[in-house]
Amino acid sequence: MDLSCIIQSGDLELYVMGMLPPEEASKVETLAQLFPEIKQEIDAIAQTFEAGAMQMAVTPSAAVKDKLMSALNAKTETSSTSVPGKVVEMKTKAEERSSFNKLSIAASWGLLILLGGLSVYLFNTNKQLKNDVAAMQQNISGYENQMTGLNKKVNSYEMYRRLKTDSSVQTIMLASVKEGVRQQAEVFWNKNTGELFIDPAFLPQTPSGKQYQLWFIADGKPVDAGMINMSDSDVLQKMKECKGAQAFAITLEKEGGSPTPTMDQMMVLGKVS
Amino acid sequence: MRLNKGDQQAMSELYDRFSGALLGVIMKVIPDQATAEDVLQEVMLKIWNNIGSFDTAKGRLFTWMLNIARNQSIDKTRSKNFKNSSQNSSIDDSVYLSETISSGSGNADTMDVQSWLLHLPEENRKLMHLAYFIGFTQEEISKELDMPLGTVKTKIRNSLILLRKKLNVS
Repeated sequence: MDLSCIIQSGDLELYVMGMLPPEEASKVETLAQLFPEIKQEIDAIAQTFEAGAMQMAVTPSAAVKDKLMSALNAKTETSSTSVPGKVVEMKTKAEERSSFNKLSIAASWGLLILLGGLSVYLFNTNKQLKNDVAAMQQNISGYENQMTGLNKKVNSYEMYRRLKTDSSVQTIMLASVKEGVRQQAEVFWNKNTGELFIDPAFLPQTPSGKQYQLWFIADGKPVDAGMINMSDSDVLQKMKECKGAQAFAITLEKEGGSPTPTMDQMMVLGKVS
Repeated sequence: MRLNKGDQQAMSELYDRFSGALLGVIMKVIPDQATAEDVLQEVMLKIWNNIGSFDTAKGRLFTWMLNIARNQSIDKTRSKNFKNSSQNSSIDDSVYLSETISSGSGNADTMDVQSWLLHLPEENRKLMHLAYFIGFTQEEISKELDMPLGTVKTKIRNSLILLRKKLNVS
């Protein structure tokens, strides 16, 4: 159990100063009986007030003590005259003992219940805190994901702008080879450097286990230009270096790609003008 | 403990040892020494009557007595009788703002009633005075000094930490 939070709460100071409501004060008393560290802290606080009181002591007039002692004297005398007989006294003692027993049983039950309550409270608080932390972590990772997504998009747009404004980059539209099917892709190709990008935003999602593969045709032969990642379909993707392309095509292949294109699975095609 | 048997001798020793400190505390609430001494008398009788209910396991005897003295004094200032008849200004700002308690009695001792709260910065001193000597609740202090409830508690704790250092309490 972490006692420092109880010690630092300020409640122990309030307890010593008599500023805690009774039920909280008895909680503090129980804690002090259970944990020596808390008792020590309470003692130190109490000693501070005691030292302060000693420092500003004022000697009372001598008459005060005389008056007090004679008042006590009178009290003692009146109480001694009212002392009952022996038999009655023993009965009182027995009663006292049994009421003391009852009291201590009640007190132990109280302590037990209090401890039970305390542990349930601490358990619940702990659980709640754990849940809160988990929820916050989830939120944070959610935000982080959003951030990376946004960053990717921004980078992609910047890339798009750069490619569009670069006069040595050619844009080739790949159109559907099947009639009536709306699908297309855009390829950005720098003839001089061989840099090649694809924007797959308008391709349909692939069935599971399948992946789009980009090809370019050079000297009449299809050359692998890389796999398209459809889980990142909203950003430009850098493909393999491409030299001497006359046309581009995308086929639907098994995941990871094929060495040669499956011609009847060709989706889109575009010629370099 | 001897006092449990109502031993007058023990009470006399107790008086010799602590009455000065108790009167000092009472006079922080009721500066008029004659009235304060009346309260001291009441306090000592209360200690005598209730010593049986004092539990050494739960607390310190001196602190227990100090609290009786404080409560008795505070109750006194709040009693209708005191308010009507009293010409002294016990809840006056001067008590905690001045260096010493002003007293008309001319008793040399009163000059020594340098408040140990003077170790504190003014705001904390005022706060501790309201809490300890005037018996204000946290809510009342919060309202009086116009500060959030949490701040009251923090300042009380900080004050105690500082006082512990100044008064050499380990």
